[in-house]
Amino acid sequence: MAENQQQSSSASNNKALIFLFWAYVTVPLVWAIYRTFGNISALFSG
Amino acid sequence: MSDGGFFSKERITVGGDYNRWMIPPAALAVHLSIGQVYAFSVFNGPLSKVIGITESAPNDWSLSTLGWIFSISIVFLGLAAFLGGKWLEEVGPRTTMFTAACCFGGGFIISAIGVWTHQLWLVYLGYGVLGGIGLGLAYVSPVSALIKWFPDRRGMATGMAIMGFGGGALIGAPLSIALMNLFETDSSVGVAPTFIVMGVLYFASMTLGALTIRVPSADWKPAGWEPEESGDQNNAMVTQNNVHIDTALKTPQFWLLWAVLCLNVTAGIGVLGQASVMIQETFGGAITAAAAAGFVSLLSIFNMVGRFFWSSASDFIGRKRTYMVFFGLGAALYVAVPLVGSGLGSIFLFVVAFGLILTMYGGGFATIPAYLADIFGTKFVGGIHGRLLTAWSAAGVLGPVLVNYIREAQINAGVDPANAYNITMFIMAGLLVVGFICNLFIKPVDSKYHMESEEQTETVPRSSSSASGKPAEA
Repeated sequence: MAENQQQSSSASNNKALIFLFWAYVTVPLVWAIYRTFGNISALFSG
Repeated sequence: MSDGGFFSKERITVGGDYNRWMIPPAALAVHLSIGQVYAFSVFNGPLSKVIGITESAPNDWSLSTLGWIFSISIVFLGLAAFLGGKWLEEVGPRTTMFTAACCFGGGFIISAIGVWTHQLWLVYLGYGVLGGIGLGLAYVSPVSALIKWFPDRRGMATGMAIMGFGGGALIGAPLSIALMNLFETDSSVGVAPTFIVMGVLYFASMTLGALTIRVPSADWKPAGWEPEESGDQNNAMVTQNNVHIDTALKTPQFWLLWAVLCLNVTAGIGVLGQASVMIQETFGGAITAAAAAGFVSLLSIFNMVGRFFWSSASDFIGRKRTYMVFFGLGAALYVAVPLVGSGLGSIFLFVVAFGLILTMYGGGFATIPAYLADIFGTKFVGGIHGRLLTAWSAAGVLGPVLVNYIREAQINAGVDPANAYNITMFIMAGLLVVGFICNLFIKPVDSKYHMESEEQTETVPRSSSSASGKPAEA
């Protein structure tokens, strides 16, 4: 029982770590793409 | 380092229930960092005013001499990928990724000293030589691990990492500008402290990637997945054998793939370097400098998205068919560009055509590691990939030369600037047709090149803890 709880806790910690790591790499990328669209608007607005 | 130390391959070899979704962000942390190289040009203007501050002084560096910084780094990227690939297979990705972090971060620091002391050779040595070595090692290091962790989705996995290389410039450019603005004073353009901060940031990010990278044990495979042996064309191209890194160079498949990558990159790289001028000249006064900058930004996004989209698509339609699309559709689009550009005068269709071309340029980079793994097996794919990247260096010379010199010759011959790129577009289409033929000739490697079964046995033993699925030490 205790071992199952420990495994479950370890798995959720692992998932949280993966989520944080993905956020670390994707947040700057999404911000950079969003920012780049500001330049692109000039292409079609003349 | 290869006999059980913290950076060794044994220490990062895991299996069992290790969550493989930790590996793509580790690869992205590295590729997003080194992708900064494509944004290095934002430093050229400020570096040409280090003494004069507001405008270039007589003793300031010229833009033409500063252009060599980027060129040297790309040359050393190719050399390091070529020479470091075999080392990567021996010592594992943690050692090479950490070495890359030291080189790339350290290159920034040496360059900062070069700017402070106004010694250009130090910038060449720092960002050019040392940074370039870091670029080459970092580019190839995570690819082999990703292919081994995602045998069921090789294209998607490598596409994620190599997409990061395309996206790194989108982060690096505004970050550099923001830092230079922060450090700018009446007596400094702010480049040296910017280099220091960026060197530390990129070192930290790449080291994080190096510490979290893992390689699966030889007998590991995703839960419920079995290699398919059925006879359809896609699977027929996927070998379950391995070809040694040195033997791979003796096969016709390596050189056909070299030509495929070189021709695909040549067609895209010339356009990327000349995009701003090209759209302005094709549409005369209708395109402002700001709009042209928007076009370049849009191409960067197409380039980045194409890396993930096409490499993921290749998992379903097969690598060979994916490259057939690149070369077939790419050639058709290059022929269509003069028609929609100077012919119809449609900015929208011109942008769409080049956007699609750039997705296939990026897609070519991202799909090639999975193509190599299909043809040569996964054991030495990182090293073979490193050697194949010499095709990139060759294309880096060929592409811009074709676009720039043919344009210049056309204008000197009295051709209207709006039509000066037409011949180039037709030549690019021709190159893609040659690439199509090369790709057509790629067949599975003859069994005489395969490694013997005892040679294929994993030389790195699984550590005792890896059997339980946990890394021996992180």
